[in-house]
Amino acid sequence: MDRQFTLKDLVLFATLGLLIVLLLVAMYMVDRQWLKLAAMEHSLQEQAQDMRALRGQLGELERRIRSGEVVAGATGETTAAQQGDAFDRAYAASRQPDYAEGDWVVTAFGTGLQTITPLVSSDAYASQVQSHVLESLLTRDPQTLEWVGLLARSWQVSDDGLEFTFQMHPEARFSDGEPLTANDVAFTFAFIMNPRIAAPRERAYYSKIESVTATGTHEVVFRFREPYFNALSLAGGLAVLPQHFYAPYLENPEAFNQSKGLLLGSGPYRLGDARGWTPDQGLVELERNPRYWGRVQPPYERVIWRIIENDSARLTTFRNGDIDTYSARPLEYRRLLDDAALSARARHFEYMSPVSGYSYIAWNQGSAERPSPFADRRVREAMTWLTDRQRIIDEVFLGYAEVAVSPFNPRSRQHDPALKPRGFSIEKARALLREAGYDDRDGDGVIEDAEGRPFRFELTFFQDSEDTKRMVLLLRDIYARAGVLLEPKPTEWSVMIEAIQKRDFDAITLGWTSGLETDIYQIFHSSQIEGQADNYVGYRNPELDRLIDQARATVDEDARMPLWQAAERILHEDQPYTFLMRRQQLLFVDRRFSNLEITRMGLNFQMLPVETYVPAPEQKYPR
Amino acid sequence: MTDVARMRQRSYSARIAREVLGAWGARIGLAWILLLAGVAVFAPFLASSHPWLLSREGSIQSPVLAHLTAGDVMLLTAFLAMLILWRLHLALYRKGLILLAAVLLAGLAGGAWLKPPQIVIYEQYREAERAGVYDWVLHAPIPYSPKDYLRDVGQTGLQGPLAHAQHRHWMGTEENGADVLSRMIHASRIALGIGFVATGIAMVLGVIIGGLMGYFSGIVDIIGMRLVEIFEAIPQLFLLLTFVAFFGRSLYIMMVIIGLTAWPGYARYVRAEYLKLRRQDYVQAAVAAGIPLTSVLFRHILPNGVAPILVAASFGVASAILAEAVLSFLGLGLVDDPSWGQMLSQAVKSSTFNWWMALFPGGAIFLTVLAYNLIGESMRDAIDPYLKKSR
Repeated sequence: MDRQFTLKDLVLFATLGLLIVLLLVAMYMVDRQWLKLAAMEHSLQEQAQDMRALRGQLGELERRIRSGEVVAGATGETTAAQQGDAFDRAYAASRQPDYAEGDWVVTAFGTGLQTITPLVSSDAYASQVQSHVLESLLTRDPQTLEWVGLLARSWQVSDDGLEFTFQMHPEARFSDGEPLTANDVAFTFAFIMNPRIAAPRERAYYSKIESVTATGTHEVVFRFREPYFNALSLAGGLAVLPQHFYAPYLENPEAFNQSKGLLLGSGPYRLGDARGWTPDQGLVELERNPRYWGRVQPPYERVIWRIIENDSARLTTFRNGDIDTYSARPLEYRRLLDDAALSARARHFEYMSPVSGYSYIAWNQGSAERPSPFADRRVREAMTWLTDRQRIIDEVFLGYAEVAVSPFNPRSRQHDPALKPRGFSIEKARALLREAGYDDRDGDGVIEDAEGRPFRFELTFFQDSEDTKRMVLLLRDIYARAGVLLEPKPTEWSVMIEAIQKRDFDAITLGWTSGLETDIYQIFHSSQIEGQADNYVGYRNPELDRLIDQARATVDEDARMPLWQAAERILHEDQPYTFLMRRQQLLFVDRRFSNLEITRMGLNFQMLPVETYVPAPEQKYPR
Repeated sequence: MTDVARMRQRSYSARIAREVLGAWGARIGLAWILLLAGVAVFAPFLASSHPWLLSREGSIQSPVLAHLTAGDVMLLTAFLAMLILWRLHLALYRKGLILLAAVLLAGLAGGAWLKPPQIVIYEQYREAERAGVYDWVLHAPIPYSPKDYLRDVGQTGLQGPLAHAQHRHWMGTEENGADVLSRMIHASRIALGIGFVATGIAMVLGVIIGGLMGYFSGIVDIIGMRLVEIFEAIPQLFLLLTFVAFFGRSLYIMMVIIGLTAWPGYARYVRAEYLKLRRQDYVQAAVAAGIPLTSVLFRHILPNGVAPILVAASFGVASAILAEAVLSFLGLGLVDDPSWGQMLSQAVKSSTFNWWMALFPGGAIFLTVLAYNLIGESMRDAIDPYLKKSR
């Protein structure tokens, strides 16, 4: 039976039709909204870009005006401070014809990070991340090594050398938009010195400062307790923390001390979520700070550090183009140089970084009650004569290193060029050991002390370092020729730290990083033996103590350098460590990066302000 | 034990042995193990930088003998003693006792009289030979010691087989420049030693605890089984990693830890056998005759229940070798003493694939583990008739 098409059906169909039409119209509307939104986003991005450019021009203009003033009123300021600022090199880079903004920098860390919160973190990786986010008042020019202003526009030193006054850039802002003022600097110091904050190392370091006072919105005064040679670097290197962000944690210091990623600053990059980073992400990703105040805006959109612990995995990732740098071991480097596919996409750099430091063998002298064989200066000197450093460099490090004479870099003025490293001589070593009472008394080839105990010691080293292991095995074979028994003791990192703190080792091989002017107080001053301080070999020399104290209190560089050199001569004489070598950095960097240059501070690849860039046609990552 | 009982026992073990050796897999496996054992015993003579014999201004010296250690002497004695005892008609446990006594005696004598130089300079012979000091020299077949890094030749290491014209390395060199074949030969000692000692410790513990549990049952069994469960829950590899991190690397500690964590498996087997056997008439008779408990447990019951443990032990040896290899592969083995796992880990070092470091040590680990498994399987087939029937 046919059903009739009734009025009810008509209404139903009409409603249905209407609904469909409405739906179509709605879809069209939504689509138009999306398009509109994309257009708005695009124009916003353009505006942001314009604003960055404008900010850059403004900064440049301001600099010109001020330098004009300085020329006009040449009698005005008398400090040696006004020699351009930190952005000069980056500005020059941004004037290059192929300069372009955009692209990402992706590199890798070899070990996982526990935390990137400033003060709480202690490793070099975390400080590399922080250097992109936090800024200090001054920085060093990588080529001249002079201090130049970053957050500070100018600065003066009082006549007694105890007071440092900084005038800051008024336009400086944190990445959340809050202005950066002198109060933030004073707060940072107060924050570090607060005993409830877990920053004992920084506190010890900054305890030379008596007070930090904001004398105006953009002027801050550092006052020191006593003259200190590194005072400017101490004051100027203080990474400024935002008061409005960190102050609430004074109420609840535990939340700060145990935090993983509380990082906010005024630097060119920022964390997407300033409180949200956690170690389990397996990478650190920074995005460009859209409100960066600096005269030159950083070129890269993102800076990413991936965590790849395995060496060969890191190399494979680099080969695949997923990370942009690879730092190679000497043997590997030699092989990779012949790799055509790799050299097609990466440039290689070998350079000696002045801050990379030196490696050494530390001889534990034992305690005053129970001295070890190494408490005798002649034994330590004999060990240095036996340590064939040139051979280690040639055979283990394939020549990519230089012999270290002392803790001071040979390129620095702290080093006395007249001092030459001891060479290799079994005869001299044997003679010294005989003098110290060690001789082969039973004819078995091993030397014994007066009671007939053989000269045998354990050399503790980090178990995961292949090159160190090779070196230790080589040393064992060399020492054997003089009748000295070396027993290699590979150790896990945490166990090694514990052994150092308990002074429970015979000899240990490690490295210290160093600065441009190395302060040896922590490592060799006898006041640093007690507790768990860094003079863990128990080395004591009153004359050296006096020289170190005097040098640290001498602000005048020309008067200070002879004191350091005298200290160096004592160290050379006493050999509390056998200084091994300074190693070159062997680095591969992706070819798309432009303006790479080896400065006196090392390669400028991740130096700040950023002065490298990727030309537009070679950019790899989307904007 | 009466002669009849001994005859029966011997014939049973002889039957099992015949049946096991009837299988081709077990024959090949046994041949490989024997080859390894021979190589391990004579390692210092097969591969050594110290020449066998040399004549220096008319006087004849043997540096190899001068460098023998107490350990070497113990191994050699054990080997000779086994050869002699093989032909003698004695009860198995007496043979074992004599062997143990001989080895201990040799160890003590070696420790007392042998004074191998503490300082070894491997290059001295090559240097002296080059300088023409010796009248003639008789070298070992492989003239390199495992820890001789050939510093005088200036080798950088990781060279493929036969890459060097003057210094032939049949299996190439490892990362420090030492000869791989020599290290392989000396590493067979570690592989066999760790397998036997660790499994031995585990077996002794397992038999004692499992035997007591099975024989007494009841409350002893309940407590014992909880102990077994606790020990089974310990992850062996992580325990090893922790110990190595805090107490340094020692082969003996590794053996003891593997042994101390592997016994619950054996204890379960023994317990089951004892539960089955303790109500048998001959056990009841032995108890009624007033024979002491240790005799009942280990001289009357154990010989009748030992078969399944031997099967488990052959698998246990394989897993102990693997555990050491894994540890060495992770870089936590011995410092520069040769080990297959440690060599295997060098296969992918320094950005290249070094095939000889993968093939030879990897192959040796594979073959040894396979050999023990083949022997274990055919032993199981011989002992457990039901299993065989169900195939």
